[in-house]
Amino acid sequence: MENEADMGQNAKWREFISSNNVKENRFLLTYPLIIFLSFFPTLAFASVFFIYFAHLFHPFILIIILPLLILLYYLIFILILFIICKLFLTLLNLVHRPKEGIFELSLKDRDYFFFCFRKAIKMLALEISNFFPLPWIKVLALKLSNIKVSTNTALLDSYIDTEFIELGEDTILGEGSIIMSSMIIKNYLIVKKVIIKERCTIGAYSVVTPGTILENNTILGGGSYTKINQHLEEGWVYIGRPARKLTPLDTLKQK
Amino acid sequence: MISYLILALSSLIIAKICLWIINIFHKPREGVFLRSPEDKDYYYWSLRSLIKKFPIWTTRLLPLNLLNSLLYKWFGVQTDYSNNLHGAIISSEFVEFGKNISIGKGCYIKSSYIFDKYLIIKRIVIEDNVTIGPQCYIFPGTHILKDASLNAHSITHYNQVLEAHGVYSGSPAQKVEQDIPYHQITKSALKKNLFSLQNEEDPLKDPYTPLFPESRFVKKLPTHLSIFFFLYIFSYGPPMVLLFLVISEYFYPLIVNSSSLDVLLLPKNLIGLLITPFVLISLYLLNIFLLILLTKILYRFLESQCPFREGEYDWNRKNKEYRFYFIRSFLMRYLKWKILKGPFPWLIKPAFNFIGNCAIGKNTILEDLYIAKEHLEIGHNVYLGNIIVANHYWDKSLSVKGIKIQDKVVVSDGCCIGPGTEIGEKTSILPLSITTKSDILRPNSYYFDIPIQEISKEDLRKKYNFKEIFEGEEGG
Repeated sequence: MENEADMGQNAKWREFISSNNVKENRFLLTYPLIIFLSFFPTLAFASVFFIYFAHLFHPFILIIILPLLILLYYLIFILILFIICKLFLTLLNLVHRPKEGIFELSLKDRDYFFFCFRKAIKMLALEISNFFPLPWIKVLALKLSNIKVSTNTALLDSYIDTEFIELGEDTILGEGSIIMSSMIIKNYLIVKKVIIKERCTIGAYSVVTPGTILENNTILGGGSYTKINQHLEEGWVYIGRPARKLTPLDTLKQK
Repeated sequence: MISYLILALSSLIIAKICLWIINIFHKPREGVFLRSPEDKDYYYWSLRSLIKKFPIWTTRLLPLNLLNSLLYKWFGVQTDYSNNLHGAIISSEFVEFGKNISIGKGCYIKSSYIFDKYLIIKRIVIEDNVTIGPQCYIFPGTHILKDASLNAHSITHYNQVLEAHGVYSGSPAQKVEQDIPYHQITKSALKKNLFSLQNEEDPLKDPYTPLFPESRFVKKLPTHLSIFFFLYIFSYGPPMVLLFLVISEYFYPLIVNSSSLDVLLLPKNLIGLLITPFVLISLYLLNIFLLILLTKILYRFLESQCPFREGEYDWNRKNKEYRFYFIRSFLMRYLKWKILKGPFPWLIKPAFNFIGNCAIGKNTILEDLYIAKEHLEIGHNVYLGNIIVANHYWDKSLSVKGIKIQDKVVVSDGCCIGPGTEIGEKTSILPLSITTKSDILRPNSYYFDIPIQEISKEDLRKKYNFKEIFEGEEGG
């Protein structure tokens, strides 16, 4: 029990960031099922078009619009896949509500079991959205997994965790940056909400850890990470490992 | 779906056969080699990595974790299916994993490392129950013992051994003396400290007032979508017509005129079957060529409307230059996405040179990277790993500046090259370092750290154990 007293605000363990990749692979078995289920409606759409409407077009025009049609069917496939994922997720949420907390890394822990299940399904939607040429589909995939995000947020190729994240408007996430709301600490998995408010910038390759709150107009510099539960104040530039105040944002403009 | 799986598996098998044949001529071995095509080890190493590129691309298309570990196993990496290596970048030879390993996103586990004029290959061993944080760099020759953990953004040095149950952090990684031993953290203590500290102000209950109305998204949508559809239709149209002609004029009569068994047995049909991949690849290349051409035309048009300028832009949608900057970058985004995610990522070099505002030299190797689209000057014989080359930078405003990289520069994985950087000849930058705005790096030197600093040869020898590498130079 004496340990507990030491784990305060300035304790060193909070500066130690480990990975958020949970090791359960068995939930990946749902992937073939979901992909298979979403193939059928897409095929139905395609066949309806080719049986009933294809003869209305001149063959040459048909060839020209064929790539567009393929894109459209791909979009339909993705949307149906999202709907099926959403169905799965609502079913799961009926059985067990997602919540923040500290879970043990074993499947006997009910929270951990459902966390991994949800994560597996959400990852499918996220990964599929990476293979679509237009960037906005990723926003949809994030909204599917209950992450608050707007279409003005620039999600360049960043890794975003699947739950308990809020991203404000006009926020820019740099390339390769990682936002995680869950993390493995030895035998436990901690899950805590990350809030990033409006007009924040997160530099390339920086890591945002569980429980971090970024107020409006904050900049987190490139290649830095935040402490667990850190609260970044409004209008400051933070940088370092772990992140520390560098300068107020107002001084930047004078240069 | 099934045909895709067959493609993936057959590409794996053919790559494996090619590797066997190459390994008969020259066995892969560890050591320090010179980075020049005359060196046999370097030559065969690059050949091996070239062969592996296509199967890796095909398997990455599916978001299946298991297929990835199958791929690594197939190429001779010892792994277990209980590991989660999602999002990490791992060399496909000379790596050994234990069980129950969790590796963070964006980690680099590289058993081959290019530094200055050398290529270093050495085996990496990672034992059971190890956790590695995100964005780490594991040097060749590292040995991580059981139950060790490594902090985010840390680098292990050449030939380092991390002890069992140790907690490591920093660059180079050093053992951390924690106020509480990391493995003794209890659940109740975690709960008490994680969920009770932030109650002085409860940020969750803050009213969420957006600065701008959401409808702004609809306003910018039409131009972006019309650009996209213009590129999409006209780049796919002609190849589609050609494909249709090939099928209707050549393949269809071939199949109709012969009975089922003949399709496979007649030599004429076999030739037809064999040339299909070439037809498909050439059509794909035509598609990309058209895309590049159309992008160039649109790019020139946009530039005539509002020319590119280095300097600062206001963060304001009413600013014309700011708007055009983003339309241009959206235009290039589709091209970049298409080429870099496709099977021929090296096409990005000629494409950028052709569209303009970029000059990338001969024999330059660009690995999988996020690259800026405008005002790049890269010399000959440069090696750029998995890095970010950015020509814009956000703070209160958007500042844009070009980048110059001179001949024979080596930039390792995980670096970020900021706007306005100039790198002199034969300089090498160590992994995970970041250059800030308008840094000028001297030629013939080594650089490292965030923000970037020069590091002497002595320091490299002492701290990062580069003794063997430099001794190899003095010996021969």
